Amino acid sequence: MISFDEITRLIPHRYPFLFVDRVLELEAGKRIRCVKNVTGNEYFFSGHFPDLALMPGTVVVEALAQCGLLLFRAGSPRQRADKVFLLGAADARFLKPITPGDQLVFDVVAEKVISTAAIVRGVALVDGQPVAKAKLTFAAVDRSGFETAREHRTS
Amino acid sequence: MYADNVERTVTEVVAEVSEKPEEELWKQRDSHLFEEVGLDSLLALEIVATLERKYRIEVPEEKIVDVTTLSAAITLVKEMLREQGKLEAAL
Repeated sequence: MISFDEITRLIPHRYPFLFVDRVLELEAGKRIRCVKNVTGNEYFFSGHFPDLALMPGTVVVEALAQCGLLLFRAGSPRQRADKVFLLGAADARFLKPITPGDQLVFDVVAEKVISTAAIVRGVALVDGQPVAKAKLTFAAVDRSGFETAREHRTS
Repeated sequence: MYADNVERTVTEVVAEVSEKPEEELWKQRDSHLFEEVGLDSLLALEIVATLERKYRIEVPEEKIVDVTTLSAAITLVKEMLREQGKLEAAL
């Protein structure tokens, strides 16, 4: 089990953009199971929507991506902390609405992991039923390399 | 236009992942596939992961950076299949 405090030491995300409460199970490099308790106080419910609280699908994809990052980071000493994580591709499907009171369980498995990038497949479950699934590709780029790439683009 | 099935299948995979037409890819099979700075390795990774599933091969990390052209991807797959004694059956 990995606590919320330990999660903040593994990935750089913070409020209001950290969507994983706890890691329940982890097989390093293979799979991870995480949980998020959705409360009526989530900041995004004030706008999505004022009269009908629905968790945005993009936030669920972000949560799955964060689980993928935790899988990528946890138990792999080769990874350094000074990385920027960039999502390169997301192929997602949203199956059921998510509302306050739901407990989201994320099951994410690694499809291909290398030292600088990964492809993962994840499913979000509520009461054991799939509510969303996604295939995600992300890269871990050195902060210096990221700045260089941005300068190229803007010059 | 293809000499064997590996050439055809790898081209189909690259076309699907890169969202480029097969014919165009084949004509420019020795040109660099990716131009975007920084994100090219992700497309190469997606191509390799798809080819691994299709051919039941495992491409080591150091070989992924070589997948810069369609020809390089075809050569890599043939090399991996040859190592496993599965090339003849795949052609």
